[in-house]
Amino acid sequence: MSAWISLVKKEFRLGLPALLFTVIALIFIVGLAGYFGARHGHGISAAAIAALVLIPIHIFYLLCYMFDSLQKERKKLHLWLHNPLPGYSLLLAKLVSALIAMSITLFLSCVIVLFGLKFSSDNKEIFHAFSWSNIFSTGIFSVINIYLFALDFAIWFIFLWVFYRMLTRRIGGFLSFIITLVLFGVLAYLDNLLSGTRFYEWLTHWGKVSLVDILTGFNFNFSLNHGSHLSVDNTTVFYIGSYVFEAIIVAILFCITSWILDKKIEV
Amino acid sequence: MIKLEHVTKRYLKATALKTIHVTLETGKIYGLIGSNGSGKSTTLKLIAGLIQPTKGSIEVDGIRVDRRIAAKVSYLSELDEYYGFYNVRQTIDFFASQFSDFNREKAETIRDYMKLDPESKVKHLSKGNRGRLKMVLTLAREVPVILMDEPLSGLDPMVRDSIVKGLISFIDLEHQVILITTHEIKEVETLLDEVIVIKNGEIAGQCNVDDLRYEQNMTIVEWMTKIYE
Repeated sequence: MSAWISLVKKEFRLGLPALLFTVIALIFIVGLAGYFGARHGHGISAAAIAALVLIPIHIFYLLCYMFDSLQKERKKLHLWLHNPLPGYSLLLAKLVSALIAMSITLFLSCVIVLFGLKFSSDNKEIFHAFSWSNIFSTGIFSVINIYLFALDFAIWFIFLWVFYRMLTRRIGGFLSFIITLVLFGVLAYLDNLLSGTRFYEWLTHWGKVSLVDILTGFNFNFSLNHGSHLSVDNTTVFYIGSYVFEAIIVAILFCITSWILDKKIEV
Repeated sequence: MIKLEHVTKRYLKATALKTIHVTLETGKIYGLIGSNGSGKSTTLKLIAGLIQPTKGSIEVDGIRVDRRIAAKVSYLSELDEYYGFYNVRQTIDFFASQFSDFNREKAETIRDYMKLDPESKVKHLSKGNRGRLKMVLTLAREVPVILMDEPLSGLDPMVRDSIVKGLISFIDLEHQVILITTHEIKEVETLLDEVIVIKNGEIAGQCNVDDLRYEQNMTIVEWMTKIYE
């Protein structure tokens, strides 16, 4: 365990420049929005909206972090892979350090949004419709989904990276890239094909949860300035089954990826 | 003990090794010599489990090799890449955390012997000092197999001398087998028990260095040159 924790620390250190870059970029974007907003008397709102826009972008955070980390490791594969720990430990160390980094920037973004909601004098007519418990339940639901999507994307990316690396020493970089791209296309097509079948419905459409059950007490039918409506009704549902199905797929992919890393990757 | 049985390794278009069959015994230092591209580094990577044979099998202490053979093999790469954000002490600490057989006390002794400043950033080390650091990290492990890929390559005579002396002082020949690839044959000649010549991916010869010296009255370079002619 201590070997793995040391590995996580190393991975975090390896990814630190990327984390610092993201934090600086976040502060810069929010600051810029705040600055231009302030010129029209809406500084806090503008900063909060910029942070709000940045929150969903975090679904790509782990993917980008893993890309950066694996690229940095590319020239040091003899160091990274010359290790008695199993492949899943090596990959989990990278994922955990990526999750820590993502949590830092996501937390910062959320804090800025909450700060904006609390102290902005703008849009009172919108914000008065929300209670803090509504905001937190929506926030927690969104953040959990952002983490799940981010993990999903990251594991798909690692799988494709490892698959590409496996081929590259055997058939060359260009052909490996093309085959990996084709594999990605085929898997995406199959996924799309499967998701439209009755079999997929049977597999995943259980554990129905209405969004309204989660976002309790929301008055979603407030009017915005131009009369547009934002509404969530009882037809907006999701299924626990689809989450479980996706988790199983991702777990299988992760196992295959770890096996390839242990048995087939060449330095 | 290391056993390679009928090992072939093919890359894209080239065949790096052709049906290699060799056994390396504990208690000996082997030199693997040959021209550039003859298959020396490939052999070491195969034993370290960092690449896989196209055909044949490789065993270390009776265990079929894959990447996780790192638990029994200490591998010094010909590459100089380390994590540049660490200093020398942190690099040693990191290696100590990853390998349960890493002898930290021994590492400190070797580091001291190699005159490496523990606070120096790895990214600022000279090539010679990176070579020394590689030796510290490789020799401080108490493993049955030590593999060294070109440990003297590109280093000045003083660094080469300190590395060769370090090798003599810090290996445990009773329990270890050492396999070194090198072009600096004269520097390591006195160290070696056996020498294996590899030519175009095939073992062109293997002999005991003492036999070569006293029975055939030849140096390793002369013997290798004769084989290559």
